[in-house]
Amino acid sequence: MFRMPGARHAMRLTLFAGLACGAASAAFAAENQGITKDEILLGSVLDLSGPVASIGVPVREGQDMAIQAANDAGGINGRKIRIIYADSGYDPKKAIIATQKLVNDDHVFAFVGQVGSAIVHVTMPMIINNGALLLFPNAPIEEVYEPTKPLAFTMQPAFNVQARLATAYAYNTLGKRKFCAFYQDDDSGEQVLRGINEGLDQVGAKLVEKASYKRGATDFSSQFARLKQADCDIVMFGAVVREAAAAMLEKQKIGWNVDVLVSQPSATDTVVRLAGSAAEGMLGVNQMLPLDMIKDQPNVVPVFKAYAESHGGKLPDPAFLYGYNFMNLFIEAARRTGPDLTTQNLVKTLEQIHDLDLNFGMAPATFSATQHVGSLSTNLLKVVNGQWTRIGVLK
Amino acid sequence: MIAFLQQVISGAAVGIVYALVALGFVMVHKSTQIFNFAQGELMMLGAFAAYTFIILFGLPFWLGAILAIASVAVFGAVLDRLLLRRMVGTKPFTIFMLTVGIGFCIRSIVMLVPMWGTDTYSLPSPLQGRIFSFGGLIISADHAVILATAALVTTALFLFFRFTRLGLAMRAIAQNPLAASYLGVRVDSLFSIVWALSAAAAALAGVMLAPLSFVHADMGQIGLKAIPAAVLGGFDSLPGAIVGGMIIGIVESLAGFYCPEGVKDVAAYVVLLLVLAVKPRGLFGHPDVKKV
Repeated sequence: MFRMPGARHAMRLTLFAGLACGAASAAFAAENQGITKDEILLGSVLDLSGPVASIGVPVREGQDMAIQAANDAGGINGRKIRIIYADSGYDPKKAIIATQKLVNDDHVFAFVGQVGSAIVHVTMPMIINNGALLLFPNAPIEEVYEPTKPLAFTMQPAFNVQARLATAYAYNTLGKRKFCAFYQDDDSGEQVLRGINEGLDQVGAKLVEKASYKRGATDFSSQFARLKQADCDIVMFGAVVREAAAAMLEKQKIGWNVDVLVSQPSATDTVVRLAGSAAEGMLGVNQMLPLDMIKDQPNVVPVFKAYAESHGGKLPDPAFLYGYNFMNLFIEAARRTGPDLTTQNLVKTLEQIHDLDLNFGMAPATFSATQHVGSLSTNLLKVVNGQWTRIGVLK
Repeated sequence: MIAFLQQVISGAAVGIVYALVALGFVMVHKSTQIFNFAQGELMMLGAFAAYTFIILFGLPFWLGAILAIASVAVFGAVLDRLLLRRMVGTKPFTIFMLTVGIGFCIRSIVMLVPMWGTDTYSLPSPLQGRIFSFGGLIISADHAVILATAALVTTALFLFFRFTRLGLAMRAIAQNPLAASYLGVRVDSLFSIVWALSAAAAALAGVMLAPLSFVHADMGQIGLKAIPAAVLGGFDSLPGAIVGGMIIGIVESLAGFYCPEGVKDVAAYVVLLLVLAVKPRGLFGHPDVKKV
């Protein structure tokens, strides 16, 4: 068929122009999606069956309870909350596929409580680059808030921040000079180690000895024998629940009375329960207060009671607090935004939040246009008479 | 010197746990040529059974432990009767994948049981916290019991295989099941007994490990450590499994103390490779001789 000489060129230009316009609008096509007259649609990719299911499952339970309470009270400015969960199994590939679906097919407004450092690392770009909000993920990694990203907000500073504060406390207040580290040989443990080294660098000191273990290890006798030989006056832990408890038992067995300061994953009720008397005097840092400390608060009692009724009389797992508190933070911010709930309006509201205390074991939240991490402080805790007690706040 | 002995003893105690799981591998493989990938999960089941009898039902530790071992042994025999016996004649890889699947199923089912679930539980032994001190050398009572029990069990197994009819029959089917069945040995029932014994060994390992590292659904991963122990000893040798396990445990412990950070985790495998380079069939393995 005969065509005009310039027609093909013109066709191409039109095609490119059309694609460019389409791409530009698609970039923020997801903004303001998920909001209808009656509903706010949220999404969350959690680990419900894999290695950190022990965190994912309680987080979901906490989020669901917060949503239920809000919906029962009439919703947020007339809108009920609905959330779609996806199970990543802590597999980044599955998480990417699930996140894409939630953004592009389900059109969620925001992702709340996404679980896992590795998961958030791979899914954050596709969320915020498409105009959806990433709110309060369960991922203590720096990239969520550093540098500040317009659509990402978090309540969890990176592990190394807490470790740095803890180290400074041990050096300045406790007067410790011979620091040792006992840490899990993976990303989370390495982060704590990094923080300890950063903290020591700031005061011109160095680690005297360090010992690591692989996740799932059951014997720590050689590590503790080595640490004891190095004659530390404090051992900083970058360990997780079971291993931390077993390590405390080992320390007790060899009769070594050194001070121990544990990182957030181990500053929980479970470690005290497992380690028994060996946990007495243990120090720890945790953004959330242990359940024992808040369970008698008047506002907490009915929540835990409702939980116990459907869970055979048990207290929730400490990770429940993350789900409950983070979701309530979203609910409060959405409520304050008012009926005209849009992505940018919610961002504006969040950035104006100052010292918001939900009084449920979580530190008060403060955000600004330049700070999208809600709290850089942490609770300082100590096991006294078999129970965690707060002895201070580290900033 | 004290430090050295200290590490050897701790390492030996952990090594016994590997050894018992490895023993189970070897027992089953020797008789049935099946590699039971679910051995670690059987150990975990033993620990949960002990937790149930001792903590939930309140039975004395020793009674609860024996009941736990017995019930897991029965479970092992049932597994054989219901599932594995039907697989006789299929490709070894198929059976291996079946055992992998069984392992996953056991773990998932444990996580679904309301009283067990995904939590971690403490199962203190009656001697928890007690230590024996010999001039600077500290041995926990738990470790001492592990070593003593292992010695007893090894002796009992040795006597069983050497001096009882049943033991003789099991050695026969391990060597040549066809010939044994021609000679009147009930091969099928013996397979079930082998599975029961192997599961019992795993359960005993679980009961001994529980006071040290708590009871939880991920315990079965130790099973992966037991494989090098079995290979090191020579995959078809029962004493080899025990020796292999102890070597792995002791090497890890010594490496953790004397070597730079990180060496501990590879030391056992380095030793394994060195041994296999010199003795390809493991320390006590026999070369296969086929008469033409």
